[in-house]
Amino acid sequence: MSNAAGELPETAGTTPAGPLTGLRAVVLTQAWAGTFCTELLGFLGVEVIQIETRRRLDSWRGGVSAPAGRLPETPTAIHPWNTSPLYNSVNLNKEAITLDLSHPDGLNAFKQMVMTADIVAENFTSRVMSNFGLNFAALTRIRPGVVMISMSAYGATGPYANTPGIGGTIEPMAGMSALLGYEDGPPINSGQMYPDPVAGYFGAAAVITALHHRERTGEGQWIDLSMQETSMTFIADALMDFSVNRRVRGRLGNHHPSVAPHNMYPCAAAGWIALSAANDSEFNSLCEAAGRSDWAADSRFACASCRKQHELELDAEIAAWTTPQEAPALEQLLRAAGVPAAAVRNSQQVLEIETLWQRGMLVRVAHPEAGQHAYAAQPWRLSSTPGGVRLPAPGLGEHSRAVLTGLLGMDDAAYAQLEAAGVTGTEPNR
Amino acid sequence: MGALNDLRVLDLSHDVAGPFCGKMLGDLGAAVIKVEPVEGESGRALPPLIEGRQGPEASAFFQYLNTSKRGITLDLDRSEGIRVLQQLVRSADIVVESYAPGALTAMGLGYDRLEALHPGVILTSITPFGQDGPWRDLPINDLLAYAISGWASVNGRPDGAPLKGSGFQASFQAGVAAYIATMAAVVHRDRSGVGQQVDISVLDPVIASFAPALASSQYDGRPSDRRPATFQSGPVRSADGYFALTLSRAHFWRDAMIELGLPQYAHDERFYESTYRQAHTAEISSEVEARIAARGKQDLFDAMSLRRVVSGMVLTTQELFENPHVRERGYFTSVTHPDSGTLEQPGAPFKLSATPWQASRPAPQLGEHTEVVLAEAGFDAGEIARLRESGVI
Repeated sequence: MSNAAGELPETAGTTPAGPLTGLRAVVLTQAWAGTFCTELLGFLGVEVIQIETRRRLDSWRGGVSAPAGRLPETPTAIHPWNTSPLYNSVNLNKEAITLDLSHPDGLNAFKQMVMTADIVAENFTSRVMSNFGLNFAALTRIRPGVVMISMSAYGATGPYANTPGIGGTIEPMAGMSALLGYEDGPPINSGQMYPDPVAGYFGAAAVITALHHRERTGEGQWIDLSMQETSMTFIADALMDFSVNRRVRGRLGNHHPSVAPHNMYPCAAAGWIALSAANDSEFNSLCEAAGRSDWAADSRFACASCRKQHELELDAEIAAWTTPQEAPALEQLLRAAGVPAAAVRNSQQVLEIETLWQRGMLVRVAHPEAGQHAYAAQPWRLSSTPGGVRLPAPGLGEHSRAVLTGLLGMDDAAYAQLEAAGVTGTEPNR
Repeated sequence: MGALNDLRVLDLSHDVAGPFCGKMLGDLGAAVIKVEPVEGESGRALPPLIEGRQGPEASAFFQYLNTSKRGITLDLDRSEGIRVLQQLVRSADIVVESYAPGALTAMGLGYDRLEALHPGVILTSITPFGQDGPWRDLPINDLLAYAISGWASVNGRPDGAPLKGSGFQASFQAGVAAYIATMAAVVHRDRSGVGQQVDISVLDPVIASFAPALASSQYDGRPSDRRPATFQSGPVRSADGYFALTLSRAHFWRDAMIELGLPQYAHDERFYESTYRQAHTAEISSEVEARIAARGKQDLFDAMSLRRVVSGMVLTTQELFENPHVRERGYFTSVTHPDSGTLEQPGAPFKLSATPWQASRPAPQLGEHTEVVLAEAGFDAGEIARLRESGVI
């Protein structure tokens, strides 16, 4: 595998228009679910202005001190809240300002921004916007036709409406954790807060759906997104199993309900290889690649349902074959033989995948404090309006002055006054 | 009224990702025609199957993935089949397909041809690794997508195998990403008249959802890995099941420790930083987990919710169908199918106030709407009879 990273030019500055160029989103999104939703809109060309507060940092900016070992060789990494990899990876393309909405001047500035917005997005617990007097009815009076999305843990109605949640607690509440884990082991959560990107994807889908309706009719609308429901949607197969068969699916590890072999097998040097064979032809190719004609001849493995029935024995045979071998070499061997297979990659090895660079799925972006790194970009290619990455993630309040004096026409004295009062600015309040 | 009720879609796709994109378009109001080979698409065999049933109407998952579509059969290996499809393209705003890269062009249905038949058309292609690049001809499935993207490297335990997500997570992500890009292209077309090709790779969306880990390992030089099972990383045992207390903010920590009767942790401000808690997991886990193990998951969830602390019960699929919150929100929707009767299915993933999501019809039986759709497209009864005799439909 070759690392194409160094050979490709930076994309920032030369980004073509996206399909939604010309639209503006004023967003109060934070952490991951909301920020990923609005980042996806930004990839499509929407101008996204993200509003944060100096009083309480976005949890994904981290605390006021940086953890040990972050960016050890980067002298420009001065402000910990501007050099968090979590925040910087899910807020590409955005401008960021700070505004304290609990201060009358901050609230007023926000309302003026809404007057210029096509989209408003937020992912607070569901009562927060109403407490600010900023529910959908209020926003519609300020900006008729606005599309508003609220992304909360459990939605705006129902007994859990005011219950807070994060990815780690929504994953069990959506039925995902009960399905993830080893066959004889307890339920587990995914290693990242998986319900967040799921909600982010559906949030972007919902906003664009509402934009289409608005373009046709002029009518805006409010989207009530429950992260529990978006995650439940992604286990629809298991939910259908209960609905139709009254069968409560448990944890399958890497196994498939009907296909065997279908697993990840240990390799040399702590590597792993994923492989599956869905039919006789793929299984015969596996036997041939492994030089194990005895597997093909074994009556336990002679048909697809036999292999499923003797899955654990087959797994043991395959693992004995893979264990002494290097995963990348096995990947090559099995792919050449026509067996679906892939070496398991960690986060560093993903950056060596050539096709991701060629597709523009990975791009290098220079951040003024964090330096230059590879980031995941937009997960699609559009032939006429490609869009893409044009800005690194913003520093805290980086665009406060530009947006408040530019978009809102505030004069320098008024801006200075707001900054002195702690309503806006570029540093956390201490 | 559905938000997309001005749009007409041809869904030529199979399995999970493309059909889910087509389902979203249909449930949100578009008129979707599902085009399948005469023997049915491979998704008709997707698990779970309805117990005791075989054949093309046996898959319960297929029935979920194909609501709000009318279905026709068409043999696209035959020139007459291609001719019928070209006629259908004349009135389609969107074509969704998941053939191998280049296959559609080889059939005489490449984008240039589609655009000539219907200027402004949007062609959404979903393939394992995209339309070009060194891996374009390789297969993918959810197992491989998790292995390649890095997601498997963080799922599971340090002493166990890396794990894929359950079911069809990567395929679902690809389906939603395809929907987003397709509808953005529709918005652009409505403003400019210009259509385009949407190239979706099943791998890309799972890379985008792994973005934080990709950045973290560059910032701190440490590759992603799997973490031990503690209350800080996921569910732990409660008296009657499993319960998650993965706390983020400082006040969650303080209030949760008060609820669990551990004031020495609640009032020690060093624990207010999550990095400090992670570093001291070993010394606090056994005490915290013992307090969780002593109580039922519903009791714990109710108590934490009263204190506005994030927490979660591990719910099974059955418990979700019975959960009072899920029921009151009306998440499940009833769909009546001619063979299976009325089934509860997962419903709207989000609630639109003016143009709600709605499954407008059950999944089509194989070839159910072939004749009516062809008649609408201008084929007369004699032509349809000839196509049926020759096995094209």
